[in-house]
Amino acid sequence: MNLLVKLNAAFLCAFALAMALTVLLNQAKFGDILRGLDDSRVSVVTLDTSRRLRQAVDLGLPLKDIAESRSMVDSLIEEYPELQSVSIFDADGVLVAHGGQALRTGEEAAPDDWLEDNRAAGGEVWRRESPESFVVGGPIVNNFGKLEGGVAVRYGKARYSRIVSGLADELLESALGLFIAASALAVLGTAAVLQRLISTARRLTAAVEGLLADTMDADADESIPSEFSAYRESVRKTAAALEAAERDRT
Amino acid sequence: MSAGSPRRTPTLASLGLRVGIIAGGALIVANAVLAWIALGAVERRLEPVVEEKARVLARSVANDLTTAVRLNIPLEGLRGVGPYLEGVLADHPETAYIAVRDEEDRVLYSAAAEGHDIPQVREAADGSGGESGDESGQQEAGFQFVHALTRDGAQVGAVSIGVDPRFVRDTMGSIFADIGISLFVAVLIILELTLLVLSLAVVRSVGLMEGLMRSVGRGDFSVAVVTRGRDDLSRVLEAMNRINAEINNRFRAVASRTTAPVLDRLRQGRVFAERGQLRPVQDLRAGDVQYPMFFFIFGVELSRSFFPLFVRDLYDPSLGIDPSIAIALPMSVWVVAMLVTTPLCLGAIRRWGVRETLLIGMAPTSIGLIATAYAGGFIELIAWRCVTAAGFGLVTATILVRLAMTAPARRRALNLGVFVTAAGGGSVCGTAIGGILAERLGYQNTFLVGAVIVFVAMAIAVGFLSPGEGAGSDAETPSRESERGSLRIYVSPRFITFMGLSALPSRIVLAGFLFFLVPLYLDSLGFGGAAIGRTMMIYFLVLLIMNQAAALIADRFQSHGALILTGGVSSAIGCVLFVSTADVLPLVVAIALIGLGQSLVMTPQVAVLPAYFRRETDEFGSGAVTAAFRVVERGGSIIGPLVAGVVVAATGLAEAGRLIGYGVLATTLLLTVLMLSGVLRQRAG
Repeated sequence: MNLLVKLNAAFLCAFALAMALTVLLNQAKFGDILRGLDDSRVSVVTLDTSRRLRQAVDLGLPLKDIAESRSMVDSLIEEYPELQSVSIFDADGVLVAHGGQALRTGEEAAPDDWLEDNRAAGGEVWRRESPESFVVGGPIVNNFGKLEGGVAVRYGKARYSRIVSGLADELLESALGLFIAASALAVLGTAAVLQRLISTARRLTAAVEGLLADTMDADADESIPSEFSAYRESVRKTAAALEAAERDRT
Repeated sequence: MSAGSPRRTPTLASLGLRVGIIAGGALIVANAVLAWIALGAVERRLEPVVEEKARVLARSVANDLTTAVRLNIPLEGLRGVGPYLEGVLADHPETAYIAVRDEEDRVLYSAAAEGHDIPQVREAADGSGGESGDESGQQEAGFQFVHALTRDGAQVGAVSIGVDPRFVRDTMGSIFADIGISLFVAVLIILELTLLVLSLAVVRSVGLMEGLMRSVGRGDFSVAVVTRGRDDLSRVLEAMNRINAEINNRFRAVASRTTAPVLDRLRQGRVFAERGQLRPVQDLRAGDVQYPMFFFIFGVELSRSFFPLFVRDLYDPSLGIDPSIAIALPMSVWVVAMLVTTPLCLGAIRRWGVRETLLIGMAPTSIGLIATAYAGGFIELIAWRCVTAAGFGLVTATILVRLAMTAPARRRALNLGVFVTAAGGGSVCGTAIGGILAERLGYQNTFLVGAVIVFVAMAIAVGFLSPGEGAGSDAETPSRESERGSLRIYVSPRFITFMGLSALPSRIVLAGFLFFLVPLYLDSLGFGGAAIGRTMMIYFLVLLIMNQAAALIADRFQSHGALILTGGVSSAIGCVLFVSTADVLPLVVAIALIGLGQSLVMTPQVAVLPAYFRRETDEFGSGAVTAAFRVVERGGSIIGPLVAGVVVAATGLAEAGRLIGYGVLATTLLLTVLMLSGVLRQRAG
């Protein structure tokens, strides 16, 4: 394989790896920020809703008797179309109000893992992830510290994935262009640096190949190494001696 | 290719430098442009998301104030709004300020992040009014959202929220360190690859060419070179081989038909391959093992920065071992497994050759890394670490033997430098990139990437080393008798004192503090995998730079003892400083101090052995004394993590780090006293 090909094949691998790593790092960081912002935004909505319900619960109303629950869910679904569903459930997991896409468990009860997270959250926001959606929940705790239920808001992963893959596509396109440019620069640059070495090697090959045929004259070529003179002389003299010996025999 | 002309053929260093600058420069520029494009693309996509968040937040704050407004409580009479806004601001870092204004736009309550002022709403917001009284707009200092507070349809005030325009840029800024590290590693790899290809395709070929020219120039036509590949320089060599083959063919043709006097004349001053077999020209270079070694260490060291965290995840409480000791156990077992296979290398080289022994060692290492990735339990993990370490021990020992084989005695130190450079470079790259990969791809995938890199090292070993090289050689192994005799070194009180006060503490710092405690401590501070890798990389970087410098200083000023003491103090300060802070800069300085300490100690520790232990050296030989030192050193590597684990179990991470630091300081002070009192002193001769 040509020296330039050998050298540049190695470089191009290193370029591809480094640029892939840059794209990967940017995409991953962007994904983290986007997820954090989305999560935080939905958390604000969730906490607002749980706080408003808490005001009613603190007045002594059972969660299931709060008439406003239904309208709160509906207005959230209307106001934030990216939300998949909003659910208000009591401490046993029975759904008090639900809007948006149906839950896998049906309309009657919140999933067990939500209830577990809701109990363990200690009044703070809890988060969960399913294959299709992100879930942000907030417990509803009354004045006396009793867990009355919770609010859970689901939002789809599709939008998140679409935005992240959009960025990845844009970065990959740019990376490809830059990779080609950097590769061209590296190939041309190394060709320029190694040009003399390669042309010397080619002249030397021609000189060596022409030695026995006595068709070359390397005296004028200053790039041929000094060891070559002694080498050439030795080959020529030996070839001549062998030829003379052959002639003597005949 | 030395030249007799004014235009000299470039050397490997100058060619490598020029090619490296071109390739490295192209990569750096391309990546910088890519990072800049990425920043713009990210900002563009996050802008609407941040604005939507501000809108939701403004409505949420307005909702909280609406109850009071509906109850006809004047806005300016509300209590606790200021601290409430401060709390909201603290929870939402993309927010520059939050302000509550009255109907005349006077700011009643506000909270602003550092470096941000509250603007005049009506002047700033030039956007659209919404049905709900929402208003938003772009202003010089970023995006602003205003939500009106209404009572009976009339506006009584507004909540305005400003978005920090630097938020995206600042948040994305944290990955620039990672990009910088990956670029640094990529440039290091490019330099290694440049030297690798130039060494394989240029330097070796030029060396062989010169050797062949000189031989033929002296009239020796019995030699030939083994060529690999079909590059430009290989073609020259092949042409030269053909010349020699042709001359020998002609000679044999003449010899079969001519008289002895004619043949004698031909033989005068000439050597032919009269039996038909051409003698190969040998060109063994220390650098041949440098590149497989670099990639091998790179692959193995990928897990360096997160290994204790990986073990912690697999910890099984049912085993009844304290978690800290359990985390330390695989690290100690690693050294034991290495010790088992290291002595096998000489026999393996004699039987199969260097290349084959390296491949035999690298295969279990890569298999071990893959199996470690999929280890389902603690015991399984230990078993696979043993397999990985067994291969690792065989490979590193074989490389050291190969370096010794290819160098005359006076160049041994230089050849050892090849080992240190390759191992150091591989460790720097592995630790840094391993952390980044672990954070993004997970521990399991990072082990798999490590295994792939070890496969690359195997491919390079196949390309660089000749099959069967070194097989059948008479590499020396110590006899049982001399081994028994050298055991008496361990009962020398002076030797044991020196080991206990210098060699052991420095290994405990390395294996117990750096490899075990540092990742756990940084993790406890909330550092991610990439940040842990970056921090630990500093150690290897300082070691790489300072190791040779320390050796030079020690030799020039004959100050081995002073360097050992300075190194001990530096390591001790580093340990104590490290666990006394949570800030990045002091943590980095502490790791650098540990790296400096270790580099000051490592080379002089070996160099002083013949001078400090002259009697033992005379009695057992310098090899036996050095071997005894290495055994104690390995012992330190075994007990280091366990000692650290036990202390962590008893006192916690920070206290354990402090105790190790104070311990090293105490042993160094004791060593100073012994040196000053003459118990340990350099003896001339």
